[in-house]
Amino acid sequence: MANNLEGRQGLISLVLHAHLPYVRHPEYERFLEENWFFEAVSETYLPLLRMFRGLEADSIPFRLTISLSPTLTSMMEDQLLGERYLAHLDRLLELSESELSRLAGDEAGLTVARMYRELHRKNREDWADLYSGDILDGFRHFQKLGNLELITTTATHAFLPMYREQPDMIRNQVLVALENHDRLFKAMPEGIWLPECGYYPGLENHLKPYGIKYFFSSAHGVLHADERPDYGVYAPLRTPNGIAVFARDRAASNAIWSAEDGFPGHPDYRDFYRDIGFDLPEEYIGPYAIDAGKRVNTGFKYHAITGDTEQKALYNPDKGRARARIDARTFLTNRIRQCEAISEIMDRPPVISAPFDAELFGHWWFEGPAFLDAFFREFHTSEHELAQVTPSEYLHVWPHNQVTRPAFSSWGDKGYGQVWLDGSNDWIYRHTHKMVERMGELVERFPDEKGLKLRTLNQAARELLLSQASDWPFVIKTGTTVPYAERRVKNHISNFNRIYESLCRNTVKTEWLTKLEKRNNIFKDIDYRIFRPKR
Amino acid sequence: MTKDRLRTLSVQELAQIAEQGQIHVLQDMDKEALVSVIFEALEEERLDREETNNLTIQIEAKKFTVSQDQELFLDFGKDVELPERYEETRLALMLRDPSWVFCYWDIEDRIRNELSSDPDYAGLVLRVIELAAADWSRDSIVDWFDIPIQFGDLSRYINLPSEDSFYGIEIHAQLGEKEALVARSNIVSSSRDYVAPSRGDDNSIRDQLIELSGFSTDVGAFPGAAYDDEESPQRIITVGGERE
Repeated sequence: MANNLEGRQGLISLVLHAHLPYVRHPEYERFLEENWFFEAVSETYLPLLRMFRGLEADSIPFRLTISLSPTLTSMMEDQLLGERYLAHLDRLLELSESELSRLAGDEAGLTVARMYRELHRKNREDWADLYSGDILDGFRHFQKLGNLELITTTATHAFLPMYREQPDMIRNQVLVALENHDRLFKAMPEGIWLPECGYYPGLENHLKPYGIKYFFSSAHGVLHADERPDYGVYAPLRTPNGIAVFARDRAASNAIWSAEDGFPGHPDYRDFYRDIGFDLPEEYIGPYAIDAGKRVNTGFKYHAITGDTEQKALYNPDKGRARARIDARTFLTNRIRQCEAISEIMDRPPVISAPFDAELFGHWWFEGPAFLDAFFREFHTSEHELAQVTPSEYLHVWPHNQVTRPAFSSWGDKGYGQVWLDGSNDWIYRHTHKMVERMGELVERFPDEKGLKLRTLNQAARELLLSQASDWPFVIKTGTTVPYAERRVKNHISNFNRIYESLCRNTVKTEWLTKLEKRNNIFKDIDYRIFRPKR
Repeated sequence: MTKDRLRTLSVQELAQIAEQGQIHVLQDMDKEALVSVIFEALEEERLDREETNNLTIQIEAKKFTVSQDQELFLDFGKDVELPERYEETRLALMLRDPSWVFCYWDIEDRIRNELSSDPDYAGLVLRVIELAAADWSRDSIVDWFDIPIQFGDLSRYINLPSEDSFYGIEIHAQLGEKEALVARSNIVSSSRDYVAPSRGDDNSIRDQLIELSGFSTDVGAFPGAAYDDEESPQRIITVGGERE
């Protein structure tokens, strides 16, 4: 598809960033926050893969860049979480049967209940039979076919501007991520997703040594660059060391992000908030929706968005899918018109970069995968002069771009570091910065350990990386599940400090270490020596 | 969160939720009154959160929504205690946005004791220094101002007077007529939040493309697109150098 890009009126580069923090609690039989992963697998990752298979079966070409975070891929390949996911699906299938009985005679309700039963049945079949528990195989398949360009992000999704004074740490976040990606996909990624689009001038210097060719930025990161950008956000910039940066196009993004101005707010779509876990009596829903005394979502949501009212209409899956097709057509039409206008004043085709959180599609916007499916089909069948493109394909044709340095920016609220550095979460950094220093100190004191000390030092490296996840300050600031986020950060800091003090006193407790290794088992092959300070 | 959900909880649980969430309730309130007060406080907090976050953050937060009970502070597990300080002398400066920095610091006990036992000791100040370049030479200093601090203070947000400049911070102890440097931070470069001035050549096409990129208030919106995004700073320096 990279052929003949030059003659096009415009190029569309869709990017999905798939990420969840590492949540795995073998010390509990069930753990509420593991549902983040289960819900995203059920509503986003498996439906997306099914959608890709449908396109493949119908010979519909498509191009998509997908960033898979190392924490997410680690959970996808984790055996314990895989087993728990199947148990989760089995509970939902059981609930599906109960729902079919409960709704007997209510044809509209039964239609929705049957839809959920089918969704969970297909998910089980795909996870257990098609992929034999290795969902990453699905992504590898489409990477091999050339439909997907797979990239990575940093090891634990650290918001890098908060660590700009500790460049070794940034390099290690990148290095661990690249090694993980290479191990899983047998190829080094061409691009990287900077967590939360967090960029600061000079960050590119820590990407270049690893062969990274591009990253993404918010629109103002590019527009506020040292030099006024010649093409606005419609062509990448080139940082002084040669890495390209693609800026997010606001028009394309907001059409899909916004529940108010964008497509997902249409009354025909399924409502995200109403869930039978909260609507039905405890005697009935208890076994599926009560976890450690808390009511939880079941994913069985029967209402359409309807409008700003408590009396919501029942969801009609056919109407939802039909609306997704209409909106996909509108989205494409708008991009065609956008490119028509822009291409008149550009001497090369404008590229519309539209990056999204992958979990938006399916988890929050239930019909999101159907929208993407319809978009790719419409793109194939309708007449226009646009092409889909990945950043690598673009750079292959246009390797020379305006050289200037983007500005500090993120895609967070108000555009900078306000979400991750706030009165609620700023206490984190005193500790995590200290941990980075102490890790360097440990490597210098124990440069070549074996046996128990080696295990201890490697675990220190894991705890350090896990403490830096951007998700915890994010959750603390946005207020969704604050006690859990606070406890996670504190536990990683505390585990690290205990290891540091144990090593200083030469009193490592094997039993405690073994438990910790089993619990926080990410990056199995990590080598603590990468944290040796560079001078 | 719904009132019905709150009604399923005991009065004791409701009282705990109010305490954890710092929701003011009266001692003689009955259960229904407690439910109403807590519900209203949680709703207000939720709306505040949503209003203060942009679309990206609102959607991203949905990934972590598995239970409306998450708002209830029901997790009363044992908290992990972290050290408040690491007994070191350190001053770290972090850029939050083009106008604000966060700094945290510590002064090791030995120095604290030395200073506080000095008969001339009159206090500590944070000296915020604007620099012309990323170095601490005397020639680089453009301007500075002081903020008095106490030994017990450990962090602070500081508003920066200028964008697109360099800043560093020092802690000084005031000892009679003299000052002693206690700690010095890293230097940060305050970011720019506007489109760079033109380079003097023909900018008409460049300006059009910047406006089409959504960075002007007078740009026409494409159908189905929201260009009037107010979530990020969007100032433009025009050819003449004036901000719109």
